[in-house]
Amino acid sequence: MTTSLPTPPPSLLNGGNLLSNKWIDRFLRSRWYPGIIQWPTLMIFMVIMFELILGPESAHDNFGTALTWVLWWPLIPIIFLFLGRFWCAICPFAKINDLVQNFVGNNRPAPRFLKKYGIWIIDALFIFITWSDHVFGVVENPLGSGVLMLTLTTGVIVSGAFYERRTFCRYVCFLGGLSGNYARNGMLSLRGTPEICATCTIAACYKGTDKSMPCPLYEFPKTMTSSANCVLCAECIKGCPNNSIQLTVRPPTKELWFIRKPKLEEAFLSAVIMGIVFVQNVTMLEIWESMLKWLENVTGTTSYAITFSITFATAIVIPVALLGLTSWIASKFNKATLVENFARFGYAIIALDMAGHIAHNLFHLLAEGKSILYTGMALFGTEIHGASPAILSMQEIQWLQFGLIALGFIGSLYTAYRISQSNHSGEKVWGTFAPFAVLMVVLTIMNVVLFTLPMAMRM
Amino acid sequence: MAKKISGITTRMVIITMLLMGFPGTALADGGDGGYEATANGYHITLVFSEPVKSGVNEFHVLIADSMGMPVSDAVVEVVAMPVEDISDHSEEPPEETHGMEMATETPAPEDAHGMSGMDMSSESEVNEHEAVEEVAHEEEPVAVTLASGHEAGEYSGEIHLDASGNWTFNIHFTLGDQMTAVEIPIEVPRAISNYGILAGFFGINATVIVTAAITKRKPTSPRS
Repeated sequence: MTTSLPTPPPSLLNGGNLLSNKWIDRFLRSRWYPGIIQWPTLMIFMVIMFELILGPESAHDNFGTALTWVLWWPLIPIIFLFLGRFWCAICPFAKINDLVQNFVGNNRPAPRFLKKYGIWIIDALFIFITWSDHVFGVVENPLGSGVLMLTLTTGVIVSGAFYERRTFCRYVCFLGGLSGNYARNGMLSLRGTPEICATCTIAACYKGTDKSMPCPLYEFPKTMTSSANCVLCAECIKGCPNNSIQLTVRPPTKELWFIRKPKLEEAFLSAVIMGIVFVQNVTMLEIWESMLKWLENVTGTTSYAITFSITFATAIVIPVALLGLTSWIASKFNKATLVENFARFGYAIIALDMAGHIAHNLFHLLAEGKSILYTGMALFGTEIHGASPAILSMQEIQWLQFGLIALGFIGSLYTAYRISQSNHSGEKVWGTFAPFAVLMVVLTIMNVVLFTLPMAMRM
Repeated sequence: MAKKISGITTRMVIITMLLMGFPGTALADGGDGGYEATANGYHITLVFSEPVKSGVNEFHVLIADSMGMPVSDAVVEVVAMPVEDISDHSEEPPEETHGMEMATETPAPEDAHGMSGMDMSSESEVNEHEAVEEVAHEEEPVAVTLASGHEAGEYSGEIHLDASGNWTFNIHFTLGDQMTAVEIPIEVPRAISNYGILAGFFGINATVIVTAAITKRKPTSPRS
């Protein structure tokens, strides 16, 4: 007589359900989560706002600027990589939305135009805010940063006051668009268990219960195939009466391999992010001044708004055009349309986007990180002058940057291969993959060149 | 009706947000901004093209001799130094000022005290390319070598003042072997009252919240 041994459950780091760990499960089901992190974040946000609006006018001395642009902004893509959109669960703006909603919320459905054009609106806002930062000086000016934060605050207050759930976060927040794309690449995945959800008729995860809120971002774990709009708020975990929700660790980029309904606007955003990473790097290069002079001569104007806009538009158009060209070439092999290829394979760029974004910000975090300490100490009357804010040397930072770009390249290359494999068969797989492999090589070389050139700090 | 009110309010909020999102547009207003000083028999006039503000300022220095004749061919340099109390938190004794050679030094990347995020790399880019020889460092002296202007005795340049508050413009010019220097105090007003901005946003948000409270649907009572 033989007995079959039960298959051991996968380890937590290999696709096992993290909720099978009692500590993680208890923490996420606790009524204290996510408030226990959200409230302190809101308090810190208040300090930042106070500093930005009423603190030192110079970014160099402003603790709010240091916390926002030297610490938070560089860390945020790293958080997306490891924890998906967890940041959105503890975001102070989301908390403000919820507070206003609890008191005066009209709870109207999200406007139809937002549902229809939400991602395009996010794309446009992301481009506009990045452009206006350079032209109007948002980051370099604490007051500018403060006004941006106040504007976002007003946005979430309007959203919380009149619309249900987190309409702003889902359809308007520019960071939400970025984080949505990055979360697809991220290592955490929350899903319903198909066998359990198949028999469920109450949809507590989507509608909420007396113990839990409805999904703030309108997601339905039963049919959810993407982490782009899951903020890991754990409301569905608390509300599901069948314990169907699973939280698993997955390899980065895995979700990108099997996008069922690729969207042109999301693919477009991934190409745009690459362009924005380019422009952020280019404007820090020592040759930037010469480029500006050349542009001034060509255009006959010294207006920075014009010369920068030309550079900005060019930087964004390059990856979009390259992706378009590659999609057109691939269409000769796989007989799909240019738009279909663009939408499918645009997601493959996300890994390289993320690597470029983190690599760029690593420069700020590690070359200027101690400024957080210095400006923080200045709040208590201890001023430090002349000390280096660098945590690591430039050479060490550069090696880390190259390492990240290499990882991003591998991720994008492999993703392009998997997308090709999941959409085509036989010779078409390689025929489709080859042009996109060349695209990834070209984008990687562009990134490497930019990180190789000497960068000038202007502060 | 309630829907209409909330629609109008939302539109007002969006328009106001857009207007307030461009602090730069509120900076420029007219004015001649002339400052005068005399030294060694020379009459020096400092004129800003527009009222002085934090950010980039285009300015001219007019030099005339004791007879009122314009002085050309001078090498004119301006060093703008923040008066120590311009910072909101400067309770420490004044630090040793760095002088001009410091102001024209570009810090090495490792030593640069910058704090840029992804976008912060644009620090000073808006303005830096426009300055003649300006190398600005936050609240440190800023030196500019002026170019000859359109008229005799006129010298022009642009300077980036990082913060509002009190600044001293040290104008010195060399004519032959003789160097003449004057100091002119300049007050750079805040472009917009930060409290005003806060109050503006507070007002908008309060209006939104009150409107939402008014238009909030009352829970319908169960039918009997």
